[in-house]
Amino acid sequence: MRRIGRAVSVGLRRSLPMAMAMAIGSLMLLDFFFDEAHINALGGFFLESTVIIVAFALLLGLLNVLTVHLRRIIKREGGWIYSIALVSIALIVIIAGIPGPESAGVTWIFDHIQFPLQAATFSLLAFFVATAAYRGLRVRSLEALAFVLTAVIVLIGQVPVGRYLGEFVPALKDWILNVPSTAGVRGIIIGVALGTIATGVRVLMGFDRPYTSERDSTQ
Amino acid sequence: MSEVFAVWIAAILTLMVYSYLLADNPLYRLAQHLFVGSSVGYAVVVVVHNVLRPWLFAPLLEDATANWPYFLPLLLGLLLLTKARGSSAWLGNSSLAFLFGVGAALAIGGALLGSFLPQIQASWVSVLPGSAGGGPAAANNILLALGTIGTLSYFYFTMGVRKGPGSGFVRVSSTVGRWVLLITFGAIFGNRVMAYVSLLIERIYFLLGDWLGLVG
Amino acid sequence: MCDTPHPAGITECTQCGARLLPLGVSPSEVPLEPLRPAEQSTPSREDEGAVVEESDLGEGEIGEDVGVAEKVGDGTGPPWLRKLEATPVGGLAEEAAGAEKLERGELPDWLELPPDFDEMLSEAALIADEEGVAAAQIPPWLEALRPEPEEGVEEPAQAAGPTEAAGLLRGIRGTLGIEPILAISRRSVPVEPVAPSTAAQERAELFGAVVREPARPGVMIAQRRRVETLAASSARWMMYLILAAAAVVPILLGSRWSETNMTVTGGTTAMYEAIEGLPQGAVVLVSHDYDPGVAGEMIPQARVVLNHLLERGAQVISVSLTPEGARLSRRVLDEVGASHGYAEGEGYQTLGYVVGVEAGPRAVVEALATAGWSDLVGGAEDIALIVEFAGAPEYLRLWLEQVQGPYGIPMVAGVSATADPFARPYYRNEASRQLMGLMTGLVGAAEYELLSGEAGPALAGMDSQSVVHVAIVLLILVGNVAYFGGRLRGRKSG
Repeated sequence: MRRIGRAVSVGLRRSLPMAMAMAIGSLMLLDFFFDEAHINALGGFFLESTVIIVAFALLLGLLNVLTVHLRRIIKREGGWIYSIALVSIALIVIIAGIPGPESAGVTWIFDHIQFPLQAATFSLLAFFVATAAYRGLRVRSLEALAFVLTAVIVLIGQVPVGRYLGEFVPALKDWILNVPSTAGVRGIIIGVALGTIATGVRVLMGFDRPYTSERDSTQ
Repeated sequence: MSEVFAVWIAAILTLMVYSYLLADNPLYRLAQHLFVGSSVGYAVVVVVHNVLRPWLFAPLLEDATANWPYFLPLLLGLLLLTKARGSSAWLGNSSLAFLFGVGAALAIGGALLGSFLPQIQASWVSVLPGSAGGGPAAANNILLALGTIGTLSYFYFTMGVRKGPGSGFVRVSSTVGRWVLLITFGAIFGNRVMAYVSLLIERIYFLLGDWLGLVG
Repeated sequence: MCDTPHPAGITECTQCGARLLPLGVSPSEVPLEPLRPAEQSTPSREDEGAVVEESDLGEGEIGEDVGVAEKVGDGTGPPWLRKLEATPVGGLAEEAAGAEKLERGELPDWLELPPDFDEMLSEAALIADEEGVAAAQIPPWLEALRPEPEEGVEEPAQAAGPTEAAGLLRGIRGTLGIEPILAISRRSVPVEPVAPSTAAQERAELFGAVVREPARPGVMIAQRRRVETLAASSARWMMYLILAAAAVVPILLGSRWSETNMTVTGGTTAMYEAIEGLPQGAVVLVSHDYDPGVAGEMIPQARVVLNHLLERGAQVISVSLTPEGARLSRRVLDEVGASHGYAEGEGYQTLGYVVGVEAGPRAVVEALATAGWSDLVGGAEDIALIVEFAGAPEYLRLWLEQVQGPYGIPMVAGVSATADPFARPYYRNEASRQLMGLMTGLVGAAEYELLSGEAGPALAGMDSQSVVHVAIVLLILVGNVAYFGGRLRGRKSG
């Protein structure tokens, strides 16, 4: 009896997930490349299911943030006062959003609190990147010279001042962006695509099982 | 009246974030926590109303018997929520497996059809001045192809292939790839600076225009 | 013991007084020598006694050895032992004292074989044969235990290797050869004294000076560090101030210089033409994949492009891969739609947020085919153009890989400047036109405004952008000048 129970447990933990990943993945792969009515229908349904399950995953992550900060408040850990602000505003938004994301309260908070905060945070980067450029872009070697020269040409060439300095400046900037930079990124894209294909094949064939925890995968 | 109030709130929050330039201070940390809190809350609202309601609840509430297949994603989604607790986390393995299976398949297909093959095709363009549309264009095509090969050999052959046939070619193309990547990173850096400056300008427009009214 | 090299022939170390032996001689075979003549030349009663005792001890030891040898040497031992007895022991000390400088590869005399060694060996063999060892009686039960010679098991063959030609092991095969490094006796070579270079001398003096300095109290160090931090901070604040001034002043002045000096890049032109070429009433899928962080660049882009689309009479279906994008796009759409006389929701449709994974864009396109999602389209083939506003490269990649590649729908993109390098290879793809047009950042929006003939906030910000870029380039130059100046100064003084 116990052995059956154990087998069922192992099956639920490891074998069923693996079978599911391999079967459904193979079906989606067929759907991607072939056009057949039944496969299309099944594939479409699985796509919708994926969107729904990912939504649940997002919910899990978001609620996890709230629980972490709640725990910090309850245990009075470091910075718990800030956590109160975080949790309160999150709850206010969630409650105000019960009618929907276009309700007045949610849009007001988004437009006048979240938007300015996020925009300001990212605009800070301009200052930091300027000081980093001052301190870091020192021409210590030939390689550094290539890097700094390219950055300077792109910076000057992207703005109208570059054209004022000479017609060749925007043309040079265009050439840099269209030829060497494109070549480098193209190489990166091809490499990343190869890696993605390899990893995907490993998951589909069951060699990689990222969906099981450590404990389950060693059985 | 409420408009002015709203603008002032937004301006004060913006300045609280900019106070970080002087030093890390409690106002900045408060602003950061408010930002995280409101974005978490907003994301929850949007996910529930924009995704779960129309894609899952609507079909099930409309006609549960006809739309019975939708119980599968509902079940898998609820099982996924068990991942919050370590002891019951294994229940969510199937949901994750579903996600990984679909994700892997789409990633393979997409990478192959959307990135790999088209980009390889793109390098396979004409190097003849006639069909490329002029001498400079043909030269650029050649440089593009050489640069791409150089970059690939730099990434894939930094280890190994020191001896044996063709190793000289690999070493040359790795060096070419290294210089191409240096220029690429320089271009990426320049573009990044441009992006951040644009964001700063937008915020300054808000502060000077909407808030202080100094610009129209 | 002190490893001081000496020329050959010296028997006592000049530094520590240790006994020196010629290389190749084992210490145990050399008896204690009589004391140095220096000590003997200043004799005192005690010294003489000591001398006498020392030599007494030495001779006493040797005497014992000789005694042992003499005890055995009764004439009953094998011939080689008798020969050893005959060798005068005392003579060894003199031989060691007067050892000649040995040539490389040469063995000392006592290691040399006596000329009649061969004779002695053969004698020993004969004796063994003559004496004739009696064969042992093996009981039958032991005989029965003798193992059968197995087939396939070879007798140990004759040892491989050449026969030893000389020395004690002559005639035997399979010996290990002598490692040359062991057999070669080394000569001691006088070492030249090394004089330290002037640079090393200076550094040594500096080190000595630093070590001799009295310790500074911690307060002074802390003060200096605070001053340094303040100096570093003020440099930082100065840079921030320069940057802020560069951004603010052109905006305050309201200068419009850029409008006359803008160049329009090919990507923006291509995008403009792609939209310009749309037929009336074409269905366009617009995806707003950005968040408030990059909204500063993307909203001007979205505004000008949507304006153009509605002008062309396109029917816009709006979707977003980020939660915030839905709200931001809604704002822009409502604003632009109102300016074209559309009531809210008329002429355009918002599908809201879809999860930003691979399944998202694909699900949107497939869902468009099913009923209830949109009355405007019956499926992917009805979409005339996809306009993608990507705040990050991965969103662009998602649309390209999942929708543009498989379905072949024409696509143009406006990207944040950070994503531009990663989007270029898709735009510069002459073989399979993945992106028909590419617009980059706030500058791209300004170019588009120029092409549309409608000046907007993007163009207004171009002056400020130019000045800030120039300021940053100057900062880089100043930084490099300071760096090289410091290096030159260092080289001059150093």
